Amino acid sequence: MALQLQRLRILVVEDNNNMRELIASVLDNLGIGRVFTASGGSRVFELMQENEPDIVILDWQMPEMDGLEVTKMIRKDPESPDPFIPIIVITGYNSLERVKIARDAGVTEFLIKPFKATDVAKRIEHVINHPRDFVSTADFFGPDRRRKVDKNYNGPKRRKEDKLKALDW
Amino acid sequence: MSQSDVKIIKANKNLKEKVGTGDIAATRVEASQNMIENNEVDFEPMAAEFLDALADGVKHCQGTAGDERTAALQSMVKPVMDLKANAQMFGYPLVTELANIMLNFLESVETPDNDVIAIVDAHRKTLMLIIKSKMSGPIGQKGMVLIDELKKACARYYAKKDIEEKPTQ
Repeated sequence: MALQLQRLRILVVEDNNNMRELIASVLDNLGIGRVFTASGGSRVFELMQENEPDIVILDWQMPEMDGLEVTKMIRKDPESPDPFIPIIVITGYNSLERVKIARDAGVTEFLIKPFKATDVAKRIEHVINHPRDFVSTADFFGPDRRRKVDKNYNGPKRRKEDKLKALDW
Repeated sequence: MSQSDVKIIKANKNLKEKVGTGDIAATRVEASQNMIENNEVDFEPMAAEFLDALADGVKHCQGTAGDERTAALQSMVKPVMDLKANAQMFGYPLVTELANIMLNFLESVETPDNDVIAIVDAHRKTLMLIIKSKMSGPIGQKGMVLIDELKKACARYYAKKDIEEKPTQ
């Protein structure tokens, strides 16, 4: 079944003009209903309130406020219009260490540049088709960082099996 | 941390309800990919900016020592990452390929010694020549030779210093 992408609204925050336009065109060609763009993350709350995006795409490296700082602000600031919004961070970095840093900041998906249209499509499909639980701890708020289920895992089970409080919202 | 400090918030299904589930149509993905491949953005001014930043990074590292030099490493990493991220998107896959090797190299090094700085500076000069010669489009035989040479230079350094390349995504 095809997704009804014309109903989807995406905010793209990227400081590089050419890259921002390219990403916006890719999304447009994929059939995304509304694409909003910005060159920096300092006004992200305002942009989210004005445009009510369903997904935010953030560049990691930006001059004023980088993508991970923006992610933490969206996730943790009491003024945030939507702390649960899926956030896709795009970056040229590809070391596993960097992926972990992004994940710990509360990023939902990680997209490495250069990318193909299919990479963008897969990330969008994934955040729609497989929404993740959120975890809130003293030092973390964001999507559950465990992505893979190890069927052979025999160690202690510290999450659901330990009857942690599950909240519906 | 006690278990009561951890809260699991069930996944939000709002997006699924709004746009349904499924895939993005293959024709849409193909159209987006064609748009990426046929974009006519001139990469040269962008590349010049990144290469200038890399030249500054090299100079900055050369003028430092000890802990200061360890901190200065990022001044070379960032422009290399920018080159890697953007070049292929705007028609220069060879630049991306070479910058990717250099990025992985720099991400594996803790403190850039004079050998590292010399390798980066040689790499910078190679990239300048590639851009100046407009070696865009598919990576040819000459490009493969450059890739091989850079890989070997990095491998010699890893062997000499007994370090391993960090894993990537």
